[in-house]
Amino acid sequence: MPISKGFPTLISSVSKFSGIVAGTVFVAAALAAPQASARVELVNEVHKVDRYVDDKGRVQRRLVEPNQVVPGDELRYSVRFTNTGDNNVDAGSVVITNPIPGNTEYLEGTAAGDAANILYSIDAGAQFGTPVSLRVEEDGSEAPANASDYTTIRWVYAPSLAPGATGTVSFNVRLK
Amino acid sequence: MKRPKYERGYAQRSASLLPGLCHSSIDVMNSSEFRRLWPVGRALFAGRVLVTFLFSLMAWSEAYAAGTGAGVVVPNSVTLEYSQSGLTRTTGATASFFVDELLDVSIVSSDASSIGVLAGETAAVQQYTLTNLGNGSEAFRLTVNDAVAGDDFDSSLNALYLETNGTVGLQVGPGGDDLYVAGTNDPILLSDDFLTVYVTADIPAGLMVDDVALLSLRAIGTTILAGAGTDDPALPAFPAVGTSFPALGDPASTGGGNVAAMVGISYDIATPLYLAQHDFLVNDVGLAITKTAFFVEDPLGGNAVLPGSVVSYRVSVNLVGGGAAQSLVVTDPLPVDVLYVPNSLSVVGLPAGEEADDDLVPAGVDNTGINGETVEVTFGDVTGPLSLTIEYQAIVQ
Repeated sequence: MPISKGFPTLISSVSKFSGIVAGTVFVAAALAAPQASARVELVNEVHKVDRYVDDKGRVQRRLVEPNQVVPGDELRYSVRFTNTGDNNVDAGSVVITNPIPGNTEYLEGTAAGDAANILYSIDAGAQFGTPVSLRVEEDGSEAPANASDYTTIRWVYAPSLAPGATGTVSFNVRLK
Repeated sequence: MKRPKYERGYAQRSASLLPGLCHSSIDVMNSSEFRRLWPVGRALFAGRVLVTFLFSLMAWSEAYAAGTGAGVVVPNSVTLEYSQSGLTRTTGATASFFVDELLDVSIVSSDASSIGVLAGETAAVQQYTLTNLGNGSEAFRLTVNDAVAGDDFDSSLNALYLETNGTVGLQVGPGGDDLYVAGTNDPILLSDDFLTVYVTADIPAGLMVDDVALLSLRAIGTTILAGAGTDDPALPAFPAVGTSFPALGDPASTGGGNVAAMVGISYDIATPLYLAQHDFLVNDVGLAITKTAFFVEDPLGGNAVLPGSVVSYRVSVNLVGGGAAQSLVVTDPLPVDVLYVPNSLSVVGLPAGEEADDDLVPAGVDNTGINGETVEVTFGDVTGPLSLTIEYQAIVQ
């Protein structure tokens, strides 16, 4: 099959802004896009988890644009990947790796991903494991790692990705 | 960054209550009232300094985590690796947001117990610690309310000072701490930074012992003043928590312009952290005593101090405050080189039974007179405010 059809590309989060608007900007930047033809497209988005009280007096959560983010706010990152090519992506080959952003801490139990095995690293991505396998040394003795120890999250997507198929992974953090 | 300052000018206060007595001494016998004032007072002051230190330290550690700075951009970079027909490929994307400025403040009284004052005292000092709990740089508008309801009397604001000269406690005058003028030198604090603020107030006369006056100090970020048009929480225009003022926050780290500023929970008018109050408590009584040689007449008709000169001494005893001193006795040993001039003693303020003559007769009734070369004057139980005067003459040997 022609390799030229198999190059990945990426789509960054779509910014509605050009420059500073209303004091806060939602910016997005592509890491690199050396290939010309799409195979797996990647959309990385961030939203603020807004808490509000509904008309029945219950506290609800909703995702809003991250236009008013201050320390203590909860944010959700979601990464959507789509096979825009003509051929299957190999089963088990999709690996998504996301370092916890600086100035934030991962919120335990929030990493999600359909059909994905979720692993964590506590050493900046050198090694990954399940939560129960991660141990830290504390005062000379071992202890289970906390969510705040996590430096990186990795999703290993199990199925093959057929042309047109999409998967999504997400996780939440709190801005320190 | 400013370091914590845990000072208070007790030394000055003590000095003002214990003037140099020259050759005079003051003796209050069997006085539960007065004994309460001194040894206990000193212990109280010492304890207050310690407690203030701990209190401030707690405030400091609590304030240490104001969070990610305003204007910072937080990027999230994800990479995706996959293979097709065994050929591995990688792609990635980044999503970012700017951190807005969170407006938060804390103001706390640094005085752990009531500030003891005397009726008629001027410039009694209260000390507060202002902390910028927000994540950006912020100027603060300070406002004193000296007419807080629910107390016994109102003090009168004298002045506000900012701890600026680096010396513990309030110093006024050249080289001293800066006088605060609203809108002119609103203190600008970086995130987590804090500043000592002094409030001085005047205490009216005619108060009862244990009367209390409350005074409060308010600190509002000037961004709120700019965004809402007021820094008065009593006005409807004062913003609710969560209100966002576009482009009024700190400069963004990239891209130019300013981020938004959001009103934080410390500005909740139901549970305000922007406001602190403290009380002035009227003490029982204060004694001030001064001794002067107010006239000298030498044997030649001049005013030189020579052998044979007659020196006129005046001892002034002032009771300030509204409390009572019991069994007040003033004893004044004469200087070694002078001799008392017989029948020169005069006293203003003697109680019944006491006579301003030289003898101490009848014993136990007239306890005022000359005992050897010591002037002894018994005023007994007295209630302030009161001025007492003793005058006598002595001849230089």
